Amino acid sequence: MIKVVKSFFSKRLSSTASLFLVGLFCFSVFIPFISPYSQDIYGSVHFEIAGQPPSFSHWFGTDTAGRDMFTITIRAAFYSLKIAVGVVFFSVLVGVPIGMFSGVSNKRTDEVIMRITDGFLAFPPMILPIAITAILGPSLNNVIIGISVSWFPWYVRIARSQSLVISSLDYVSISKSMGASKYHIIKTHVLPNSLTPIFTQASIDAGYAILTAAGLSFIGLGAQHPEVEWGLLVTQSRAQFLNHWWVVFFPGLFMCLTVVCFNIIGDEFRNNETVEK
Amino acid sequence: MGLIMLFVTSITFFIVRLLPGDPVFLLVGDHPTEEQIEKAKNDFGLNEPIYKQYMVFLQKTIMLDLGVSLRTKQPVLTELSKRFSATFELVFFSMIIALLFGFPMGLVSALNQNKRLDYFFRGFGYLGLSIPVFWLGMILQIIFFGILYWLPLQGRYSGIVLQDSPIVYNSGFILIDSFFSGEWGSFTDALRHIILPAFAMAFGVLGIVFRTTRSATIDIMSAPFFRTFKFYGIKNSEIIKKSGYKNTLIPVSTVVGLSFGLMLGGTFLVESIFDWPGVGQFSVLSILTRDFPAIVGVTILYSFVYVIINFFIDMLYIIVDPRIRD
Repeated sequence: MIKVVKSFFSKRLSSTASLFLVGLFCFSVFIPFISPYSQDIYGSVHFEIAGQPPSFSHWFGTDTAGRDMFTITIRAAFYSLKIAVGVVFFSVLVGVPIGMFSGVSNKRTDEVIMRITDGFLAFPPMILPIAITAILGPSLNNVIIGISVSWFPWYVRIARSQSLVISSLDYVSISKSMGASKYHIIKTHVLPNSLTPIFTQASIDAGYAILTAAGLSFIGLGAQHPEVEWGLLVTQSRAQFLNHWWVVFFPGLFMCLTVVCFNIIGDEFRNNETVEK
Repeated sequence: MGLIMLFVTSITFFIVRLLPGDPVFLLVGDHPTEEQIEKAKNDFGLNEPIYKQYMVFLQKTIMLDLGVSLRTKQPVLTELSKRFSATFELVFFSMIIALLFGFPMGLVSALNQNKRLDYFFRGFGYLGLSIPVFWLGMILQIIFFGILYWLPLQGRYSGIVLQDSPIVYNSGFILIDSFFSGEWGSFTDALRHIILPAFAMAFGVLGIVFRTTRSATIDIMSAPFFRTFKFYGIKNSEIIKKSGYKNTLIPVSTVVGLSFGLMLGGTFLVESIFDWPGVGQFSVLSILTRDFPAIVGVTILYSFVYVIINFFIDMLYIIVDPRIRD
């Protein structure tokens, strides 16, 4: 028994997790073409079948507007994964170059960049995204911007510490003494060697991005009505949730599963990283 | 600490001013006339050059003047300080729960590494990291109120109980006040109200505390001093109990400091679900009505609290670890 769990936890778990994510993504892309209730995704309402519990024709039941919960829950994965990828992409795109530049720069530039980064990190997570999306106006894209702004400093830190370690290695010093430029050192030495820690952070952050974005949608700052997003689905049915448990349960369950998968993949990356060292 | 606070205030200011969303339109609402825009601009000093606005903003923040809420027409500082004790009580109570469960779980898990209990706790920790706070809160409401009727749905106290046994209000922390004024009715009532929201908030942090404790303990178990003790024939659990756990206190307190940030973010969601009369609920209402001075005020308040808490955690290191004292 223990052995089964053990092997499940080591390798099979991470491959199951990645398979689940890929499967969910493909399913969410194709669901408008295969679901009999595909028009529900675009906000159509059928009040005559509102609030039905899970049954054969509606696997996850229907919400207060009579939409099929299964179809929109699966479709919501598309938007949540879009947020996850978007946030990680922008954070890496902004954070990594700044961090690497900071790492190979002289002391004063480094100091200035790091102090500003610390300033961003002094905000509790969630506060800065809330402030930014509240000012930019609620929408999915602004959520991506808001979360990226509060998260790029972590990538600055990772990239900087990596580039400090790597640029102190012997072969890099030799390359420097032969007149290699900062850009050359970053491109050929620092960047290829920092990919693993960045990927680790990225896969863990992808999960957190989904949670944060769902939280923002929940308080009305994220996705707006015709769009379907897990946090929004939960908040839309808030009035009836004590009688209709399924409208809250299923979107949250999928959110939870997705984030668990990202965490598992991130842990796997991290383990490989420590083994490498 | 002061420097960080200055940075925080500055970043908030520049985000508010430099982002494309024009603050004027948040001030005057939909479909304003030309005069309304001009008047708002003059009233809030938006016609001044940016550096002047920045200086004024800094001055006001130092004097704790956060402006007037557009929704309630009260000074933001009054609004926030009225609600702050409720939020603070919730956050601290949740943190105590998270530590009370997470820390021992981590120790036990490390002692039983790769046994069944360890896998169970690790799964629990994973769940804690991945579960959406607001979803957990609603599921708890469905179970403990909707099905079992054990605990109240929302709020901070029931009005009837409070009438029967009025407590001497002084600090605003209902749990502490009722405890010290000896009103057990009110105390248990407040406790019953706080359990669900606190547990919803604590669950995520519990996972973080658990994981940190576990990995720190496992690291220590291969330290030279630990192995020496082991050669003397002392049991692992004895060593941990006597001296080993002290070495985990530093990473755990670091993580606790960071987790306070997570919890402060969680207050927005948990308070609005459980109708908890705190800062988080106030700011969610402010966000929905686009009450922009209030949003800025909350941002600054929460960041300051976060910075101050982490400052105290740094002080705690000195108490926890005698090596740092020198």
